[in-house]
Amino acid sequence: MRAHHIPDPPTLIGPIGIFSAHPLPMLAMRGACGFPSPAEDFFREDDRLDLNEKLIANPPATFLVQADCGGSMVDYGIHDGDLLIVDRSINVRPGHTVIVLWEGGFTVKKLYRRGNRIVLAASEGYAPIVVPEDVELDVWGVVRSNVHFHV
Amino acid sequence: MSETPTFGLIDGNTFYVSCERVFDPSLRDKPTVVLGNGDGCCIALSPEAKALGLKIGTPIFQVPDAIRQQVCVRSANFALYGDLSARIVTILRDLFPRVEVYSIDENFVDVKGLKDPVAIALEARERILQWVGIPCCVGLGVTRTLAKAGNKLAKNQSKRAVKAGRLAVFHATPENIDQLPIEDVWGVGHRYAARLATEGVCNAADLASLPVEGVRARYGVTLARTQQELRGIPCGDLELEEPDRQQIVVSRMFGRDVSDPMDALATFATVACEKMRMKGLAAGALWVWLDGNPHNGNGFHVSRAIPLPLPTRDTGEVLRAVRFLATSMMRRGVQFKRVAMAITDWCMAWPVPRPTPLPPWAMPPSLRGCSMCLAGAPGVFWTLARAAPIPCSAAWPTH
Repeated sequence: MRAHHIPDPPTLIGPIGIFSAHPLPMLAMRGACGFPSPAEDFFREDDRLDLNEKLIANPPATFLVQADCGGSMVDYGIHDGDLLIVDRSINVRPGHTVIVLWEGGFTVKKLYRRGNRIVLAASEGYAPIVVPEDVELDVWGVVRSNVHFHV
Repeated sequence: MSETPTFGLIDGNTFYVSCERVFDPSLRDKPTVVLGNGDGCCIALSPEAKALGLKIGTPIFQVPDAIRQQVCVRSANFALYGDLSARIVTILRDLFPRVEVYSIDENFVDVKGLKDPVAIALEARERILQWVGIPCCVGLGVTRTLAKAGNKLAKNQSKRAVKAGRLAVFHATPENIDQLPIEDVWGVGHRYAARLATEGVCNAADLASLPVEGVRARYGVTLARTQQELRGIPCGDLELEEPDRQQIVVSRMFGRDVSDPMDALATFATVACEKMRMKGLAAGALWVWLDGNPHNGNGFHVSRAIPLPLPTRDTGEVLRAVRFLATSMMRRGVQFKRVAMAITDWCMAWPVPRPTPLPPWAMPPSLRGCSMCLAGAPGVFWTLARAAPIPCSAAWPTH
């Protein structure tokens, strides 16, 4: 009965474990090279870093989205396949990276204001979209951060 | 105007459809239905779909093709709805001192003592709409029944309007509920509604004005309580503790007729056992039932239950018992439309600490990748694969 006209539901990467905590000890080395500092022996409990806490400011309004934007946002530091952490409780302002509804689909863009028009910008070589005045832009959420996986 | 409200009911408008629309903009303003029970029946309808004459519970194959081509159809995605529902509860717990989670899309809140309940209700609605994307309506009242009535009235007056603003909040008082049809009053079933209508009781205000003694004598104490609540006399407070459920039921209607429901039953048993262990319970008895397809004139129903020799929390033991029950009822050549299994008569398990997920290296190889090992980590791991259904042999009893 699963007829062909029923498309797959949107893929969520997964729910945000609001109550989960996976604290990891924070290293004081800041990615520098050399010997581990002897001061590491003196870490206290509150030196632990919880990635959820660091990346997610407002759990009930945060959605994890996988970027599917090809190279269109490389200039703004977002690569294809990155994990986008989208916070819908942030009120959008010029300069924000946003997920907007455009021509019936979701797209990631940088939002700017030019004069009294809103511009949705992307990497060089991708024409920016100038939103017509009579169109009310539907911003789905503001991208708070993105995670790029190197391996 | 009556006194300040004590309760609020916040309810997502056509919740499942709204959830689908958050992630699929192509559904906005289009007639949309969500199918439950193995893509069999409509379990949620957008207002546009209701306008086409579709009803909740209609099997989709009974809908004429001409109408079916106009509607967008989605399969229910309960993991998604549950996630969005939990977000709404989190938002409400931030704003209100007490929240009763009444159902997946309805939450009662305590607004007693708030300086401006209407303003906070509007704030809650706005937050839920922006943060989660679900439009809600809010009913306020001095009793839960009035809050529920207010919610219904708010829905009626803000129909179809996502940006309904103040219209989406309605403070119901005993004086302003005459627009609420009797069958929409909380606690009035359609049988009572029909009986009341023959006596000229057509709306909530009519019911409130009936003599109290007569209602108790002729309709019983439950409706008398409903009437008291409509008059603004509270008969119940928020139920903050989840009521002790007497059984865990998992059932499914198949999209097509199935002759071998064993895989489905194995999956149900696994799900039911996970739920049971989360609650720290053990199964005392099992119940399996199989239904034919009434639309094919095949409307039989067979069911069988057995007590277990000892209460168990072991999925393997439950699976064996379920399989025994099902094989004892299956017949060669018989097709099923719906199967269900329930864990009943359960008892509290002796205190066992909540299982923590085993690290992969510590898992026995046979259990690797199996969700039972992760049963103690709610929420985080549900995306992992479930235990595979037990293989079942083709040899059926022929008696």
